[in-house]
Amino acid sequence: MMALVYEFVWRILHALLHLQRVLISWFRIRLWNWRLWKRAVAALLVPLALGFQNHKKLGSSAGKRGLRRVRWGADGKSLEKLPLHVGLLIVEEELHYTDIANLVVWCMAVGISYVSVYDNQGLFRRNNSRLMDEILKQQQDLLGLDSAKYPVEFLNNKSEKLDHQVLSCQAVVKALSPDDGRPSIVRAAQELCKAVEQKERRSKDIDVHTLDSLLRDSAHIPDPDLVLKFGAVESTLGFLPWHIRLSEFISLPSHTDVSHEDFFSVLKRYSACEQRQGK
Amino acid sequence: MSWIREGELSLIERLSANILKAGPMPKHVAFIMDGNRRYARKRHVERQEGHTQGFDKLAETLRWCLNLDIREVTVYAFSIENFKRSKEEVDGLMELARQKFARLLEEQENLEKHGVRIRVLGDLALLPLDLQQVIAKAVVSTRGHNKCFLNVCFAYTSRHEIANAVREMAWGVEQGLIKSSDVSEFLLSECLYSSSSPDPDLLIRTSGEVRLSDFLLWQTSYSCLVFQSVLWPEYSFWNLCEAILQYQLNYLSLQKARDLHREQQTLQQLEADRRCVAELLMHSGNGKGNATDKQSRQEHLLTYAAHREERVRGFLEALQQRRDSYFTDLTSQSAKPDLNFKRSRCLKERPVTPRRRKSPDARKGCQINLNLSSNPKKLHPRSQPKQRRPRMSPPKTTMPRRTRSNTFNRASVQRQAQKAEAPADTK
Repeated sequence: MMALVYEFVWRILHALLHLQRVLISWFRIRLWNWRLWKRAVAALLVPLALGFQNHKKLGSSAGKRGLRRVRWGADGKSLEKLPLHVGLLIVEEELHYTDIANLVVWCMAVGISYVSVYDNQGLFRRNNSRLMDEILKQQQDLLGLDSAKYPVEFLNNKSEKLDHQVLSCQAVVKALSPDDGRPSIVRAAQELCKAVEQKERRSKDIDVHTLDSLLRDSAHIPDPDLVLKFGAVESTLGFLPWHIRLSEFISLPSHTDVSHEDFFSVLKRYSACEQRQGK
Repeated sequence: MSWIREGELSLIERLSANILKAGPMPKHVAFIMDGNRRYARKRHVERQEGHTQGFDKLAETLRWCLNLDIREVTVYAFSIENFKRSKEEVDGLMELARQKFARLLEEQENLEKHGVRIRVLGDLALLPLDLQQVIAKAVVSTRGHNKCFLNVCFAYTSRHEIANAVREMAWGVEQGLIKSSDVSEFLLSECLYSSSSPDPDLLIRTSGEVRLSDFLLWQTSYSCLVFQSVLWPEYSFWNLCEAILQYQLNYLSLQKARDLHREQQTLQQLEADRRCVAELLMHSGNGKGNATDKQSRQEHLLTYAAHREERVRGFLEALQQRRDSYFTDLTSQSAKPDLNFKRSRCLKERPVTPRRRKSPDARKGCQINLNLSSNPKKLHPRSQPKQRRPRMSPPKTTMPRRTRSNTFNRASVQRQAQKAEAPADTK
């Protein structure tokens, strides 16, 4: 009897929590729409008021992009500490490539050198070229950068596997899947054991360093300093277990329509974090 | 202060506990007990006092966990990185550990009442010898208990643990117990210090830090992570309830992700087996028609998988024995001369790598860890699934998740093999 009552209360409690979650996300979207509205109204009213300036708008958009790039770059410099490597961890069912591409481009614009994109179904990895295309497109849209402007970085990139990475605006972007997590540690272990089997190595010489150097591929990509998680699931869902030893985890509710303000507030939070490294 | 605080919950706490228990509860919770020093600063007390209060809070939390039917708790007590702290603080922490483990030996009956088994995970060789011996005694004395499990990570980092597991597997290869191709996700998990526990369902870190700090990186890949801003000595029952509520909200998505991962793991194992079989067939030279037809290929695959499992089981038994025997050496009274002998022998066998710790005991170089599940006959039937034997039997619903997931029984091999084999046949 009591058990039934408890279960009933539990169900109500969880229903309430779910309701709260839904309401929050609904308000977020409403807020976002409202912001869009305000912008749209402003865009409509300003040219109306200044009627004759209307036709100039198109011409100035390139300048606006340049400005944006400078502003975002300055934003990045205003932070005390910037992550070198950001992991974008998407734990949502629906993936929006444009929003992800936006995030990646923002990362590049503030001066982050390495960006990893992960989902636990391996969709980004499978649709890698689509993601990279979208990033290039957003890069042009938002920053007005020609990929032709940075030919050197592309050429320098021949050591990397091009199908997994795009090096542009001096950032390496990589799509990761669960296969880069535990299975990659297993592969490294297998390699070491094989060396032992062939008497090239002794078991006693294996330590954290040997394993770490095997797990760090030729690119010498540093461990992610910041893991930016999107979605309601509070878990890493298999994201690079070896490499996230010291990563800071910061969550945002969703990557859909994420705003630059939200993104920047995360960077600010990161820059305020202090790491004592065991001390 | 004892290890498990006596006392019952208040009425309202009991009520809330019962409501929470109506939903899915975590079976294994891991804690990063952060914030002792900040607490001491905040309260203007000695740093050591902060650590002591932190320990008292652990005793209280264990009580709550018992009340909430959480049967396994893992705590991060001391990281290898913590050796970097000032000598004074490290010595203070070692002294605290010495006291508390000695205390643990005194309160046998209390632990027996609750059936608490203590395991210590980490590279104990980095600790002072006397502390190692106290820990060993505490662990051995609770060996027979099997109702609740408390895993204390001491001189631990996750990378160290994984590297150690790889070293153990390499040892197995050296001894000819396994082949390098037998190395798998399952085997690596079984070589970790935490091999006898299921992966934690919930990881809680206090004091507002939002990183794992090299704690259970492998094991928490699919766990619910909850970061709370309260300092550890101020942790309350309600904080714990909040974390559990978080876990329950995430339960379904996590379960789904785990299932997906399990599926991938099985497929990877099958793929590895098929590769090995193909290689064997190539080498044995009978690449004639009979080797390529579906049925014989599948037969080969099944025998190979069975042999692999046999090898792996033998290796894991040997590993367990090695771990246990090192450990028993440490506890036995006559351990000292024996240990010295062992130390010199190990020195010969294994040169000190320059990276290893400053502690003179590190020179022993032998990796020990205290996952004792030796002497299976002594154990209560409830702990049976923790042993390796039942893994071959078909999955039962009562088996813990991990054992079930890794059961590689023939039927499932066959089913998977047929699935995977199908496209090959259309060629």
